[in-house]
Amino acid sequence: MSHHESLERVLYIEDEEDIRIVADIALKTIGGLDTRCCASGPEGLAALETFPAQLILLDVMMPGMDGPSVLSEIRNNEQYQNTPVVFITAKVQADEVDQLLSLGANAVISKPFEPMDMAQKLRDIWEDFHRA
Amino acid sequence: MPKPDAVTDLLNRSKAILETMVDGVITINNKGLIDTVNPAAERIFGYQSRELLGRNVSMLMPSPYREEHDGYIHNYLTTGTKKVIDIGREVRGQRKNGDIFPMELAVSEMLIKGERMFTGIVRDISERKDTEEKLREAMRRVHEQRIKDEFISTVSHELRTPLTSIKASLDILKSGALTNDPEKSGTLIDIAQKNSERLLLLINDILDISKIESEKMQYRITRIPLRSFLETAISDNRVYGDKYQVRYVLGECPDHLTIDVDPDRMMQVMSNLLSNAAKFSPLNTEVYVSAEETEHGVRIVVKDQGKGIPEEFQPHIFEKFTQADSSNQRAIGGTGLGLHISKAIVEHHEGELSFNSSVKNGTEFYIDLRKKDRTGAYNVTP
Repeated sequence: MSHHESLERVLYIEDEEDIRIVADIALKTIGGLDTRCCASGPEGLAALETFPAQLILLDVMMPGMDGPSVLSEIRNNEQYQNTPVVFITAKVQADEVDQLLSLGANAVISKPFEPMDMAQKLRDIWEDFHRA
Repeated sequence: MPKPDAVTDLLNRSKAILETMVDGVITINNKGLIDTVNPAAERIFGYQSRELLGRNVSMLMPSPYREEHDGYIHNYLTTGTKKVIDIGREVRGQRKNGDIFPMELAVSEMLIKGERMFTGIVRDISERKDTEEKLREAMRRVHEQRIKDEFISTVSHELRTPLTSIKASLDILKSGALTNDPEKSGTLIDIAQKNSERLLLLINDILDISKIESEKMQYRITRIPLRSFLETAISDNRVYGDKYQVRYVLGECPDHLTIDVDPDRMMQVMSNLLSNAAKFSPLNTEVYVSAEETEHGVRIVVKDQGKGIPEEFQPHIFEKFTQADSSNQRAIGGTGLGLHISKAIVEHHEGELSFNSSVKNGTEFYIDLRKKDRTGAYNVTP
């Protein structure tokens, strides 16, 4: 069995302000995770320089730089190229989910999400990632 | 000189070729009268050869080619201008039973005993055309289905977005996790309420789109004074302008102008244009509303001082969900349906919704309504 640190720091990139607020409460206040929320891809990528995220939660449809473009940037970043990235999206049809996974995301969470279980869900994804 | 046996053999071979050809072969003289036909031509057009020989070949053509055919030959014989001779082309033929069908026709010219004759080779391409048409129809259906699927997927996404905030807020509040945090609880209540309103707007817009597409939208056209209509539009939307710290200003609008419109629907268009203008205006700027008489009617103008609409986005501005297109990019706010609905409403009034936008001068939207007729309903009272 592999030994790894537990999940503590999550970066969430989401353009919808209201969803950022509720997710922040769900992950930080309820879930006990050290969470940094950013409103855009460029803002999120900049935050990674000072916030050593262990897992990145990423919205798909965002103005300017969309989720897949952000993922591509993350994969090109030496420090974060192996960091698990989870898409969170309201595009929930099976083919859409498959397409997102094929881009190299580790998991896809659909919107609306379950706020009370969200942190645990990310911890499960984190454990699966280290088991794989 | 070939021997008689060889001549007979050659004739037999030529005859066999002509009689077994899939394509029809028809020869005509310089007056357009049919000289010979092969069995395939009989089969294609549905005539016996005796019904064709000596008759004008134009009988195998539908109107208006039938009437024009003699002119073609005459024109060629006098001017040398070729329309079909030596040029294969697709034309229409007419069978004995009246059916008109597509065919490929290749005509060549020859001299027999000093007389100019023409040979037409006819290929019936009905089946091929039919297959092509079926293929086109199938592709059109696939395309329509794909558009429908994309629309449903986008609608689903757009509905889920506010629902995410509403559901998550209510789930958290219900869990009691924030019982001791009235500030955060208040924030979540506000979020749930705000997104419920957003959801309602979206549902209304989707219903409008559905009504427009099924042509079930009701319009009650009445004549109204334009100036007071614009004043109402501004006062009704003032709260929205305040939200974005933008002031709506009524500019020039001649008092005598009236318009024949459904006031509620046209107000919906104005609200959409005014809210868009406010959203994309810098803080503490003004959005100008004005109207003028034009050569063909009246033009309403809504002008902002924003940065303009990105050039690459301009061709798509009236499409559905243009803010949430397949590029996965979305501007903040709005349902992405407003301009599509507005354009449909204006066009129902036989008007036009257009815009002019530049980085330097901002964006101007124009509603052009034109005079309907000289005597009755005017969109402009001179």
